Amino acid sequence: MLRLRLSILRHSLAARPLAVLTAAALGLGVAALAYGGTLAFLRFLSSYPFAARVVEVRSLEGLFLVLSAAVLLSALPGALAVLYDSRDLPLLLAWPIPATRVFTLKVIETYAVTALVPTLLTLPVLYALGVFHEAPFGYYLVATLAVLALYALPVGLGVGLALPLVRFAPAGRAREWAGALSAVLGGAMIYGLRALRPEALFRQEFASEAALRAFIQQFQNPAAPFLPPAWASRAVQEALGPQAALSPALLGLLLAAAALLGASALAAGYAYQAGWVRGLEGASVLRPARPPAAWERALARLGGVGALWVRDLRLFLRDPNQIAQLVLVAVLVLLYTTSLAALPLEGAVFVRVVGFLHLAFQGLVIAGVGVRLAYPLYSFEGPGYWLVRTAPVGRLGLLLSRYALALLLLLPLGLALGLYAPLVIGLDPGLRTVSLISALAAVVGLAALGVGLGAVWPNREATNASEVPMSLGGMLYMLVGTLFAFAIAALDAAPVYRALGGQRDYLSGPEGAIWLAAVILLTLAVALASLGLGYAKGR
Amino acid sequence: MIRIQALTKRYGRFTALEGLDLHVPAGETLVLLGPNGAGKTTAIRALTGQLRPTEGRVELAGVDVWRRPVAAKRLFGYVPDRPYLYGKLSAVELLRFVGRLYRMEPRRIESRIEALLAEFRLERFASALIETYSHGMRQKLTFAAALLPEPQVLIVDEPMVGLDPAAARTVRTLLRRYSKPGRAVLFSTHQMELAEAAADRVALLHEGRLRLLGAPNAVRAQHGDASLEEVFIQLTEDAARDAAAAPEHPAP
Repeated sequence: MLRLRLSILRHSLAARPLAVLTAAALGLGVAALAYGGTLAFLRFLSSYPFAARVVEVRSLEGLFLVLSAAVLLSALPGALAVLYDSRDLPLLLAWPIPATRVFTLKVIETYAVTALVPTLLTLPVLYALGVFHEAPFGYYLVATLAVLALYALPVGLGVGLALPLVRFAPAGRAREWAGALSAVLGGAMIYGLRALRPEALFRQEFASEAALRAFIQQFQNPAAPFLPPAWASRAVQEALGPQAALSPALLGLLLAAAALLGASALAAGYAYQAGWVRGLEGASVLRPARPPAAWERALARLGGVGALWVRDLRLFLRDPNQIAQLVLVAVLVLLYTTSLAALPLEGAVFVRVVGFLHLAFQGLVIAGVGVRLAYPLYSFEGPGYWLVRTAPVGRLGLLLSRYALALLLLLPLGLALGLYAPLVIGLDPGLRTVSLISALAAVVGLAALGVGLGAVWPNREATNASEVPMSLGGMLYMLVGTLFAFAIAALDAAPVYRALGGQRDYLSGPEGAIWLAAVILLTLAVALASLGLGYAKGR
Repeated sequence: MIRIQALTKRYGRFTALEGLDLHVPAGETLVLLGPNGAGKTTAIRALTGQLRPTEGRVELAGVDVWRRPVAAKRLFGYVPDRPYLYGKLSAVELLRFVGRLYRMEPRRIESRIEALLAEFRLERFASALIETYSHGMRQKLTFAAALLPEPQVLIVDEPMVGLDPAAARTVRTLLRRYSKPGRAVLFSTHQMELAEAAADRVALLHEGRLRLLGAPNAVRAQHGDASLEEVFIQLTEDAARDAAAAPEHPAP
């Protein structure tokens, strides 16, 4: 079976030599960066001998913890795809091979799919650590084994977590539930990390040596000594010594990994053969027709465009991936505003400078969200586009319905950034108005840019919204979107400059009218050009 | 009702369809036959406004599909060979969506939905999400969607894929009878029995060209009462042999 896999891999690599070479060069570059960066960091630390060792150990443990969490988050959807929903599984199980061997191979494949990149990222760091400390040869073996065993644990856990999903998730929806669960967990984790307020670390005032020693002592204790990242860190640190040996920490890690992977392979085999995968296969449910909802009837009065919106809203609200994406956007906005609130802004000038940075940054945030929400709207038609394409719907109607939807999706973000963030910073009313107008201009322009370029470069085969922008159109959107955001920020420089000079009624004068006209003209030019391009060249 | 004039589709040097002329009058069911890659799906996609012809015209009831696409699309219902339907909609939501796109009256939409779901035996699953449907149920729902606005023209690409026997019988009867009150049906198939049972005329395409056109009985009579299947194999093999021989014996 391994030979079969290797042959498939060889053929796939041979079919795309350029992509393989690019990926290999990129991978080597990242590895070199990780290796060089670690060496530089360790050299820098060595100039602070009283804290070097503690910071080194804690940093390594932190790296293990973060990457283990990342592996766990991707292991859940990965296990569903590779282990339970794999297309070759029926064929493999029909061959005269023991089922346990098939599922062991599948668990290894899940490991490769979810943990290979974190493993390849961690190894250069550990090898740099070994080189820096002039570790014996055995260290490199121990470090490699420790990393392999460490990331095997979240993979085994992910396989285990997937079991209740395939058993109890509604028919046909286990994959989406897994994706949504991972995204929500990821969002919670990011927000949780932010809630620790790392800026507090920079505010530490070590008035005395005793206070500094107390802080280092506190920092020395591992955050979670019973979690596997702490074991792996201990195994690696012990192997750095003059005589690398099989430490109890490494032995425990290896045994736990082998036991968990073995148990997960057995459990997966049992679950598959016992027919637990109803959440993936789907089953027709008896449900007679229900009348249309009031909101649906109201929208349907708008004709073809209304019909498209009813469909879009239903599809959007029933897609856990889209909901998860919205949750992530909300988390990012929360992060952004809470970070602004945490900044120690003292003095009106500093507030205005940070306010200007916010004005420049909000357009970039809207552009970044637009690439996931506005740009893919044409691609979201998916393989079902034939239905709209062969129906009596004009191209203009379709384009404008996509544009209205993009506005609807980006407007709450624009309002949050344009209205709420300036309040948090404490900007004066004049700059608050500038912020709101700039955010609305960014929404109007970037929604049109996303829809227009998305119509010209659609990807209707994509299974996930994140795949859609990986195209020439997506890159073009980010480039033009960034330029547009910077252009608005450049126009905003004038009112900010006046505000810094103490001129508060800038907007009510003729210069304010010119500024407003310039923003409107720029926005209309970008919006109309983008929509025009989408109409003329849309596919 | 369906008029295809000198329809040609080229992809670079490759010609998928060359100079196809077909007319399907009201009241007729025409079946497109041909081996894989003959140009059947290309012709149907050009007819349904999905693939712009390189040359030629396609008209439905006098409306040019490529000059007045929205007006033309009001006239036909279409069932593709690999229909993808939105998995996250229920059958009844999908049919309402289609009815609204065709600007049907809400009450008419509901009554048609009820009738079609009953006809295709989907009424008990009407509000279940399409992602939970089997392949055959999706195929039946695609037929229901195509028939919902009671189009003047029905265009179907490979109608029988995945249908259970009861649904296959419903579709066979539909393809035979739908054209009779003054409408037109055009469908492609590889099933000769279906072609014989449903067609008023059959058109055989091979390598992008029309090789044969006529009523099934007349075609069989012309070929010594051979079955339609035998006629199909004979003509396509002859054409392939001619094509293979052509480079060795170029015309003077």
